[in-house]
Amino acid sequence: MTDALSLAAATDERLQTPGFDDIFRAEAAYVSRTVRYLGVNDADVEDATQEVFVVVHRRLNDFQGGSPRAWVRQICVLVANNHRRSRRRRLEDPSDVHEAASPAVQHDDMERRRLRERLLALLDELPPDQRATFVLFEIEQLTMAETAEALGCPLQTAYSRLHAARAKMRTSMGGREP
Amino acid sequence: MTADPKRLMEDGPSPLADMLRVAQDDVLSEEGVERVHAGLAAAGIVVGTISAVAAVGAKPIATAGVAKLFGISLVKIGIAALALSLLGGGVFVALSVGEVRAPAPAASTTAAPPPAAIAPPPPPVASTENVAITIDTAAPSASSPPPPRPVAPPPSSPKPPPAPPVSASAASAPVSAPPTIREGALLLDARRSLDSDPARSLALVQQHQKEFPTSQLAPERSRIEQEARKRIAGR
Repeated sequence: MTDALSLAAATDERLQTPGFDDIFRAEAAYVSRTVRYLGVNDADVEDATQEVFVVVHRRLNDFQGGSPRAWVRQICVLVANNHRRSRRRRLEDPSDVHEAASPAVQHDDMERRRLRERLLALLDELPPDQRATFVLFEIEQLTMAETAEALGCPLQTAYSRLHAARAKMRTSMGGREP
Repeated sequence: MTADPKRLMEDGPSPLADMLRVAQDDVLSEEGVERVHAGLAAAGIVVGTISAVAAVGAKPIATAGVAKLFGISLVKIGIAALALSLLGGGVFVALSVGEVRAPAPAASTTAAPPPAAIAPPPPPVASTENVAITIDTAAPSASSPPPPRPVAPPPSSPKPPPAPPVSASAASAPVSAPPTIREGALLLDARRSLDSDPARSLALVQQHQKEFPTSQLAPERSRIEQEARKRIAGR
C-alpha cells in the first residue's frame, strides 16, 4: 500500500513537473525583464535571455519541484551576475536599443523611458544582493519565500535585504517616500 | 509565518510606484521572443510551439511565425537543429510539427509552497567565482562579450566583400561556445537568401566565419557557403 502511494505520489510529481516548452512559453517574455532590471544592459538582454533558457534546458533534470518561477529566476540571477561582471551597463547611450516611436506615442514613450532609466539608475546604486531581492519581489512579484528560494538565502535574510534596498532607494530619491 | 510586506506598487501613488509600473510592462516584444526562439533552435534546443509565449498584450506567436520570419519551414528548422545537434554535440529536445497546445496560464503571482527539494541553491551572490563556474559551462564566456546588436545588414552589392582578418576577440573565442542569437540569425538569414540572393548568403556566411570562427554551427555554415557558391556559379 505504501509502495502504491509512493508510486502515485511520484507519478503525480512527475506530471506536475513542467517541461522545457512549458517554462519557455510561460517565462520567455518575462525573463528578459528580470535580467534587464538585474543589471544586464539593453543590448545584451536577448542574449542573456537565451543563455537563461540554455541553462534551464541543461539543468531541467535538476529541477525537483517547488516554484518554476523561482527556479528560473535563480538562473536569471546567475546569468545576470555573469553579464554584469563582463560589461557595465551604458546608462546614457542613445543608441541603446530604443526604436523610433511614432510622433503620436513619442511623448508617452519618452516619459516611460525616463521612468525606466531612473529606476535602473536607482537599482545600479544597490549592492547586487539587495538589488536582486528588490527586483524579484517588487518587479517580478515573487513572494518573499520564492525570492529567498531564488536567491538561495534564508527567508529572514531576504526580508533584511528588501528592507535595506527600500531604505537606500528612499535615500537616493532625496528622502521622499518611495 | 510572517506575511509578505506590502509591495510598493500597492502602497499608494509614489514616484517609485510609477517606475515599478513601467518596469512591469517592460517585457520582451513578440519579435524579441521570436529571436530568442530562433537562437535556441540554432543551438539545437527546439521549443515545440511558442504560441503562448506572447508578451503582455501581444498577439499570439506561432512557431509557423518563426518559420515565416526566416523564410524556412518548421520542418527545416527541426532538421537543421537535429543535424546541428549531431554534428556539434548540441542537444535536440523535441520536434513538434503542427502541434498546437493550449496556452499555458500566465505566470502566477500566487504564493507557492516552500520548496521541499530544488536544484542546489546558488552560492551567495557575492561568491562570484562559483557563479562563473556554474554558468560558464552553459553560457558564452564572460571574457568574450556577445557581439553587437542588431544584426548588421549585409552589403547590397552583389559582390561579397573580402573577408577581413580574424579579430583578436574572435580568435580567442572558446571552442564549441553555445551559438548566440546573432550567429543563429546570421546563418538563418544566409539560408533564407539562398534562393533570392546567393551573393548575400555568401557575404553573410563570410561574416559569420569572421565573427565566429570556432562556432558549433561551422558545418551548417560550410553547407550554406557551398550552396551559395554553386548557385552564384550557375547564374
